[in-house]
Amino acid sequence: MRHPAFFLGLCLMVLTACESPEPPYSAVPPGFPQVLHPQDNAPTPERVALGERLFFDPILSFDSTLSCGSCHKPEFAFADTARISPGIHGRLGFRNSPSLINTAYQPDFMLDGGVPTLEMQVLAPIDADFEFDFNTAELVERLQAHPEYPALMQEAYGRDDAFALTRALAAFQRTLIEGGNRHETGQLTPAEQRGEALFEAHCGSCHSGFNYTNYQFLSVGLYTVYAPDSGRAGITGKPGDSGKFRVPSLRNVALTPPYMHDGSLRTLEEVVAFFNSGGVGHRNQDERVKPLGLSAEDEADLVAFLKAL
Amino acid sequence: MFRFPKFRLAAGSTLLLAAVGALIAVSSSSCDKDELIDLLVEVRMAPGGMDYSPSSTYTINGTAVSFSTLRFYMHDPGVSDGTTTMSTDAYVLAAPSSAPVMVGQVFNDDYDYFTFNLGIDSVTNHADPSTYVSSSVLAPQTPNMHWSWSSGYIFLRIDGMFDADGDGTPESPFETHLGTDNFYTPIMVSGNVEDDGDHLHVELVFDPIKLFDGFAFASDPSDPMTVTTHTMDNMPLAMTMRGNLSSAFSLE
Repeated sequence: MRHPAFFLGLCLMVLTACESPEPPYSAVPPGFPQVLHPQDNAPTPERVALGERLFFDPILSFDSTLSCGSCHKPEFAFADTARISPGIHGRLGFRNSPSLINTAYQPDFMLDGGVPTLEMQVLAPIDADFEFDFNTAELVERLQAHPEYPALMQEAYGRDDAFALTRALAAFQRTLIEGGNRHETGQLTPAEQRGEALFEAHCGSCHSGFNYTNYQFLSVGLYTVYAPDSGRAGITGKPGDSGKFRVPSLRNVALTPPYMHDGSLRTLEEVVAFFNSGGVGHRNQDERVKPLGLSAEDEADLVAFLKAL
Repeated sequence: MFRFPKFRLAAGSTLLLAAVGALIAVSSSSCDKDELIDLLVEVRMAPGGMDYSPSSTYTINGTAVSFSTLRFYMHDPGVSDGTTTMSTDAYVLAAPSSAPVMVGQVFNDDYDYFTFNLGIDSVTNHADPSTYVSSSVLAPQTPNMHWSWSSGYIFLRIDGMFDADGDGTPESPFETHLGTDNFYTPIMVSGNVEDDGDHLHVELVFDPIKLFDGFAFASDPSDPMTVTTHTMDNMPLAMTMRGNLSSAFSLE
């Protein structure tokens, strides 16, 4: 079952599309910027439908047991509640599954920013031995032997190769737009309002903007040593990037436990307590992460606000 | 991929421009040397100078090894007289038993060097492999020659087994994958490159064992970092291999 707000977002898009001559999939919630679609992947109903079918089809994994939707579950804002979602044969990677809601707005992909486009990101779980453990060229051959996919890919893209595979999955994911939470609609309770003030004072410089992230790569000082996953440094090779991961969106954060890049904090209460403590003092720790001196009531108010997002 | 040939100057100076002009003038005095001819590149894998077979056992610094995967990308293959290089901007994926590849055309002349860059240039390296048609060497490959998690090609891939327990039989896996922009490496292989009548035929020999000069396989296979590199996770081994690249290539 999908998250209700996701359906609300889709309904808003459909209604808006019916009332105006705008191109399909161009409607966004109030206050959101337009989604920029790549020139070679303008969304059409055929492309989005193909992408949605592929997203939930375990044909993508080597042993046909896992789909994208196995780890990005609609009922959890297209994230997962496992600390580390198991790949085929139960293999574990080292990162928590992120939400795909509003992924259309990301400037780059993966928590370390190693992938520049959503289309290219599609290749990553296919290749990873702790996810689908497949090979893109062999997957394309499997799809080309399927009774329906070749025609669907040809209809959508005029070809039935890796181009159609990556474009369709990206086109579908760009429709996962959602806004209109209680913070945005001004429906916060008094406790949530107190939490909002604390959020703006202590969290808002990084979790900023319409999607509650500035998309920067920062170290919050979760560990003194980041190994084997050094985050951004694994891409740039720069020691100064060790321990840095993309600031995550907090939209739907109540639906996506556990938290942090590795899912090491189980609840929002643990997350708020961690940031209140000021981190462990990693050498690249962002200077804004410092002891906050919040009371137990403050922490509870802050958690209440986060749950309204 | 093939594009029309281009001249590449060894150094960007007016003196060299004059030298190129002189070279062309000299070439044009010959009946054949101002004509373009196909440049055909053939790569032979030869561990330790022997024929390659995935079931054969070879020796690296006293350790028995076998190779399951031997592949590398070449960009810009061309020929040179030592002063002027004529390259083709083609991409070649060298693999065992690959057929000769016509990479472009060069002036019909005798040359002293075969040149190429090992790897993929930085612009293409970070482009989307799924945009290429399946027949392109830059499209997704089996075995995989692309790091999807960091969006770059694997320039050189050598996988296999090595003998960790000393019984003479390789039983422990190793992987050596070189890539990232800094590993895009110009290679100049000396040898006479001559017209055989229909084309210039380059037979490039690659000896993977020479890449491991100065490196000892660990006796403890449980420490994969001593026998494996994906470049960023074991830079010392990657740098050792890069330093040995030039010596690993020769012309037949």
